[in-house]
Amino acid sequence: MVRVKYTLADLQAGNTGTVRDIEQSNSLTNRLMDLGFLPGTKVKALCCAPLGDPLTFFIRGYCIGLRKSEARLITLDREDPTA
Amino acid sequence: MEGSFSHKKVFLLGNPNCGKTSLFNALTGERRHVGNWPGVTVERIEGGREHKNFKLTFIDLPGSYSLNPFTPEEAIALTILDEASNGLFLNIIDSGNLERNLVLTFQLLEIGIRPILVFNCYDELLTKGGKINLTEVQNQTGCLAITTIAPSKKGIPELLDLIVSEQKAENRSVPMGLSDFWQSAMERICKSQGLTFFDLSPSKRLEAENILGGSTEATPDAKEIREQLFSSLSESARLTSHTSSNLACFLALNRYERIRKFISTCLTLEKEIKIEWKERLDGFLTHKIFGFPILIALMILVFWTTFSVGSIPAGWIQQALGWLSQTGKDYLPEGLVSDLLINGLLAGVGGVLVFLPNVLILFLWLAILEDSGYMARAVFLMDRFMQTLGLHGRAFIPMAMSLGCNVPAVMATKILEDPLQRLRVIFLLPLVPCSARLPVLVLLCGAFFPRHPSLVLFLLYFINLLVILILGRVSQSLFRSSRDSYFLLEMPPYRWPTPRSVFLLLWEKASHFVKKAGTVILCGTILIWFLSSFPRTVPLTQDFDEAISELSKQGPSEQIEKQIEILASKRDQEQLSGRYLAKIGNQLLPIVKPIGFGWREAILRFFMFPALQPLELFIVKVNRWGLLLFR
Ligand SMILES: Nc1nc2c(ncn2[C@@H]2O[C@H](COP(=O)(O)OP(=O)(O)OP(=O)(O)O)[C@@H](O)[C@H]2O)c(=O)[nH]1
Ligand SMILES: [Mg+2]
Repeated sequence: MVRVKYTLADLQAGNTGTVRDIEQSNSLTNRLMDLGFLPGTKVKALCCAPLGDPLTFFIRGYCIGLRKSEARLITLDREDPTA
Repeated sequence: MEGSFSHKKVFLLGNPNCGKTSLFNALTGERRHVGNWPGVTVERIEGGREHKNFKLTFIDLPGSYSLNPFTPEEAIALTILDEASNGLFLNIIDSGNLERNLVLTFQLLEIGIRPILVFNCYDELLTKGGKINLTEVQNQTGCLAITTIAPSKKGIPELLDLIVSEQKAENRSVPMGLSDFWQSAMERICKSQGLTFFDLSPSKRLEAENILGGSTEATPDAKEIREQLFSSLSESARLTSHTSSNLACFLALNRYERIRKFISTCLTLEKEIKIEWKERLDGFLTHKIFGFPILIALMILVFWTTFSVGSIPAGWIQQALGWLSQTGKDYLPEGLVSDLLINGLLAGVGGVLVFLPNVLILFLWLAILEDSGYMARAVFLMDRFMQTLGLHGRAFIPMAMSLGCNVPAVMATKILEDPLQRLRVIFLLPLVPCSARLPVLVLLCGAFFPRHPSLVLFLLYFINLLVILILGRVSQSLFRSSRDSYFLLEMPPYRWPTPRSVFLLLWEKASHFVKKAGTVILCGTILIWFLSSFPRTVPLTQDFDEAISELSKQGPSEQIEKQIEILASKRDQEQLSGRYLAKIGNQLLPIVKPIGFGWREAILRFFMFPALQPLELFIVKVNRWGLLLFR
């Protein structure tokens, strides 16, 4: 059975999640790590663009836009998003 | 005293949008392009100044988030690592965004570079309620440190003094390097290659670090060291909650952990002040439903004010010109010379001046869009739509800039990573009507469609947009690139455009426009004058002048005046259709007839070509393009 991963792309706008891991290792994921997407980091989903694709996130005091395909590389802890 | 000068090279390194170019401008007095979005500077720029018997050469570089290059521009910044070890590094840090900016700083420190730490945008930290303890920073890092506010030149003299007093960028010992764990692993990797970490140049040290992080292919020896490191890290990470599946992640975690400690000792936050209006504004401008309409409304506002508000001062200029040409007609003897002076030269110069208000308003808007931080939001909104054209959302930036001038827009295409996409955008750009083309279009619309000039103009812009969209679509199906590109765009904080910088920018644009458009339009109007006044004698169907003078003899009455007017306009039309201009138009007619155009439209199209500047673009930028495309 395939366990469905809970990633940054699934985070609802306005909610905050905690990064669990970035599994792959390539230049893109390395960049995401340098930008601060690391295990234990809190990320808030701000909004998504009108056509639903790029999303903006608030992390470590700044704001960044990612496409869904990029946000999917970052897995989140499953937890009560309202907590 | 020429001989007593010593030279020093100073390299500006820092995250994108942290204010490197602003600082560069403040240090050197140059006026390089500054904008509130990441990726403005795309190439190495040099500038100099003298300070206290030193000849300083400053080198501004594209911003980079870390020493692991992700874009070609970041790779440019990396190439200087070794070159700079005999000069000086300024590491510019955005104080409002310390944590992420320090990643680069810490990486520099790890490989033994000792930059001067410049905490720029200090005003933004202060308004957030924070303060940096510089002595603590200096004690911990062993680097000189200073706070600056680049746009108002605060801290610049002090920075110059520091630069002059500082000796060398490189430092053999590493005062604040990697944690022992990592450091020893790195030294072991060097040893496995027969090298000593402390004797290596910065770039070689970086290579060793990259092997450790896993971004560079490793030898079997190094692989073993990595595996050992990984298992012991996972072991100790089990105690804390943060674990990861790869070494690069552990390395970044370690770095951010050290940064957190550093910040907690060097930064005092008296009370955290949140700036709520910025958040609200952002929520509004990038809103899922309102975002697009706002973007479109803004673009309409830009055009509407450019044309309508701009036409008010344009009217004054026109009046002044009208008065001038009237006095010219009164005082100069009638003939070809005065015709050339008044209808050729004066009309030409006037043709340029009249559009100055429009152009300035357009540039004012572009400056506001760029400096406020909205550009990045527009990219965010447009990304999905641009993808249907096979373009990255970032292509919106050069397209918007192109409304001002195509040349810097071509340079701005560097923010597109895929060379094929860049090429496609470069070829679409000349189709965007730039500010220098606007007067030509208005002129021709006024000349050929005197009844609805503005309607035709808007129609032209609209058709232009459609053509761009269609060609974008076509070029996508022709040159579909397989490379998937990344979005990954930092949204800069909203900032107020400073009046000073906007004023300076407008001044620069105005003089540039007068010079550039002046030559093109002047030649253009004189050419049009020539084509529409020669041949001098045109066979007419009746002697209009005779008929008019006969009519005017019959005494003034409303009806007669009307008749005279009709006759005069008929005469002018017939004359015009006998001149070269119409002949050329008629020659072009067969080409455009199938689309339903008459000779006037043909001429319009014909004259748009000199106004299209691709030729000039080619000549000026051809070597740049070479670099751009085949890098
Ligand atoms: N408030 C404030 N804004 C600043 C300061 N320095 C720069 N800025 C603004 O920050 C924005 C970015 O400045 P740039 O000089 O273009 O930044 P850069 O580092 O050269 O950016 P890239 O070339 O894109 O890497 C501009 O809007 C500047 O006006 C500062 O000290 N305080
Ligand atoms: Mg710059």
